[in-house]
Amino acid sequence: MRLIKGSYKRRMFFSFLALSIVFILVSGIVSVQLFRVKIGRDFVANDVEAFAKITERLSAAFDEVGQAIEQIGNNDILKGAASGNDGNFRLINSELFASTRQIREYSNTDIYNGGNCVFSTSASIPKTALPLYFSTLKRADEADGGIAYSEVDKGDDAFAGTFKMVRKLTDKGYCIIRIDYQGFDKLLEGLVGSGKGFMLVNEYWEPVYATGTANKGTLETFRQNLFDGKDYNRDFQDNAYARKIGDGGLWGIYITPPVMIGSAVRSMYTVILLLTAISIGLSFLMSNRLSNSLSHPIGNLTRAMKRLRSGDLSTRMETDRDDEFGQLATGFNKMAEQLERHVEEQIENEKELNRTQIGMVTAQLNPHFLYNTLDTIKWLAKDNGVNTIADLSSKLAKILRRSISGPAFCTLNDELELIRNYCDIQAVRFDNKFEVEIQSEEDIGECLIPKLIIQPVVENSIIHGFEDCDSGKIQIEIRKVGMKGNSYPDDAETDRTAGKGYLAAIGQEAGRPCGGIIVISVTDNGSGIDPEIALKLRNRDKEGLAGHIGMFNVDTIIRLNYGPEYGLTAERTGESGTKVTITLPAMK
Amino acid sequence: MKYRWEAVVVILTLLFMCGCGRKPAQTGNGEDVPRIPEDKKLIVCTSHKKEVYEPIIREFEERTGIWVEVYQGGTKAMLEKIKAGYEFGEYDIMFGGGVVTLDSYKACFEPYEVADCDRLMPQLKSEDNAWTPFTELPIVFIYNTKTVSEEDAPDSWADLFDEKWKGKISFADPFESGTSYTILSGLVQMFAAGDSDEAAGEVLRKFYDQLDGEQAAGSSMVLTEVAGGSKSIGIALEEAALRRISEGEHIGIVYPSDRIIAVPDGCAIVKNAPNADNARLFADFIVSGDVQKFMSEELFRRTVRSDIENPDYFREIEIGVFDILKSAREEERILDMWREYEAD
Repeated sequence: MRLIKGSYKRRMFFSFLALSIVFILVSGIVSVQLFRVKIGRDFVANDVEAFAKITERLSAAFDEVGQAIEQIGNNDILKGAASGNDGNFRLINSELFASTRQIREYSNTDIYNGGNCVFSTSASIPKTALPLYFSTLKRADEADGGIAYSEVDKGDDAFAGTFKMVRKLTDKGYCIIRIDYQGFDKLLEGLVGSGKGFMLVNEYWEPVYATGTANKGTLETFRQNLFDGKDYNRDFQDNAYARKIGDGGLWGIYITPPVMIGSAVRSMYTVILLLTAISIGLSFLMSNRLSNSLSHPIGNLTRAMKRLRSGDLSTRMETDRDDEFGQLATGFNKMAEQLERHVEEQIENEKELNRTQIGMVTAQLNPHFLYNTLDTIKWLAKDNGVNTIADLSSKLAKILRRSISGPAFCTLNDELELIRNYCDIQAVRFDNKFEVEIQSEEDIGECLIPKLIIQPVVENSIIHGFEDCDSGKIQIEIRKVGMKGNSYPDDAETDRTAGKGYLAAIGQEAGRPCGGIIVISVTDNGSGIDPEIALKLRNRDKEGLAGHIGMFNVDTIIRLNYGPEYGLTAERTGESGTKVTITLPAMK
Repeated sequence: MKYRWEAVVVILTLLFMCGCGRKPAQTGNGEDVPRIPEDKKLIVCTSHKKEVYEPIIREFEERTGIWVEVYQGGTKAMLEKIKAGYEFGEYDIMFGGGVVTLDSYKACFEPYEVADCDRLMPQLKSEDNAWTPFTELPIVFIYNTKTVSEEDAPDSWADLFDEKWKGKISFADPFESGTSYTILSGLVQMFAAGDSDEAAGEVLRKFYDQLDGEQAAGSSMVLTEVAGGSKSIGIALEEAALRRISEGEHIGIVYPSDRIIAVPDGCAIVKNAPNADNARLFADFIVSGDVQKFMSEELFRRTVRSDIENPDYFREIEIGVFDILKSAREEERILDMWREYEAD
């Protein structure tokens, strides 16, 4: 079951398979069974019709015999003969033959006086006397003038019996009309089809007559079943029909072979099996096609969703379909488009805000005034021969100009020059208590970075790191690494494409990415950064960073410009000293 | 639970298929085939020929409305069947077989005194009613009237030992025919002095030698052999001889002058009979006047009733002494001896 549920394709295949197989099997078997029932019914109907003809023929014969007996009973000459009165021998015989004309073809008529036969229509008069106290004549006595019936089955040959209809004519006279097996043969000529059988049995289902396939064994089976309290034809392979015939207690049993439709049914089942096999193949093909046509666009959608989720807002789905999947893809594309536009707008808004903030900070004092003042100081100092002051004011003016005017981005070389000037000024102020060593790879000097991102870090080292130190050392190392360098910030989860949105949205002045990441590390041997401060910096806790807001600002500027995966980290190195690392993409 | 509907559909389909697959019941055109009421059944074992039992049974059915199921076979075979099956109530009544043989299977039978018991000839009745006699069957000599004259035919049992009949006597194998055993037993009772085995053996040996090693396969073969001329004389039952004569065969009958042995055949109700009441009705019926008359008039069997006259074709005879019970007792011993001679 898990195998089926695990795959949409397999589920569909098995659904198709189950549906088609159930349908084919049910409809096939139902139609085969209906066919069987229909054919069976037709056969039964034919049998019943044939059986009805047989019973009609026999009933008609028994009626004729009954009429003949009636006629004989009303004939005084014959009654006289039966009483043993002497009469005209020929007259009696001619009367007898006249009365039995209709039935002579299949029966013999005897006139009995006492137990002895005195006249008969048969070729020879039966010699054996019949007992008056037993069987036939006893029945006639009991019937008291009505017709009685009796059947004899002489000898070992079952079914060669004789059916007798007898009537007491006078005190000692009887008329017996006998139908023996030859008579029945004549009566039923052409009525029992070939391969079929018919038997006559008495009230107790003992044999009287049989023809065709009916035999002693069959009757024994029936009788045994009756004795066992079962249906008489139970366990009997052929079809059997039983019906009472006439008033003499006789039963007719008609036996027909079972309907032979086995081979037809077998070939029908073969066809059903074949159809089932074909439907398995078709189910497989159909489910394959259908599930492909479903799963393909769903797969595409899933992949596009994944790309979108991972930040690629430019993801779009291609589709040439007009159905629900086509609409879905169009909807997805529209959604992605709107999302992308929305994100761009938001970034633009943020930048605008930042530019405004930076502008406000830098515009607090008219820079030209300060710059002109410093220039005046420089020339005054030169005139008065104080070169140190002239030098200082010149460097300060350079720093000032770089920091408060011009574009927000500068080359790395410009920034480093600014650092040198700044350090020279601070060296004067701190009485050369520290040294600055700058190492920079040559080919990255022209890379563009936001201005004034290294200076606050260096300032931090000088002001906070060397308070109680006489031989401070600041090491600035700048290098370029691949997209994920050794000193890449520890945000390892960040996807390399995460910053694409920012870089794409960044302004012309920041340049274009030229591959790789610039890592700027500023290491000092000062008193070391307070780990709490470092933690707060990492957590971007602005409130807790009073006095260290410079580094926070640098981090913010980088993040706003290049995305959250870039920025600044600070850590303590060993016993004392601080290492601040700035990462940002290389841009030109 | 999720697949409940599917399961219901599948089950219904299967039921439908099963329903279609059944063979429709065929009982003709709706007319009810008779069901035999439980109290209208009777199971009869018989060793009689069909011509004997068939009219009796049909008449019995006609008169009582009881359905009779017949098992037919040799006396010994039927009695063995009864012996094996009576504990399970498989049979109701044994009809046929010499009373000597019936007596030896007494353990299987339920004693019953028939309604007309006092009308039966006292000498033929069972002491303990274990069986009821049916007809009396005297043993007679028969001869081929073409080859043997009435005067030459043996007149007495003693004549059979005459040298001139050696090899000319048709006698049925006693292992096949109950009558033949009765004959051997009769010879022993007549000629063996005392009860000793030696005396009996001497008589049997003498008779066996007289047969010259030839025995007929069954009692009816005796008549066939004599009528056909392959044997001159034979020993048979009177009813069989009379029947053959009535059929026109060239057979003459001699009633032995020294002693006429007659052993009745009979019927006996089986123990645990499932239809014991009907079995009793049947026993009453076969000794009733009508059946007895029918037997004597139509089937050449002498009646066992004292109130019925035998027809004229039965010669008036006096049945000699024959100890039936002794004969039943000795059966094994005598047959063993006979087997020994055969082996020689």
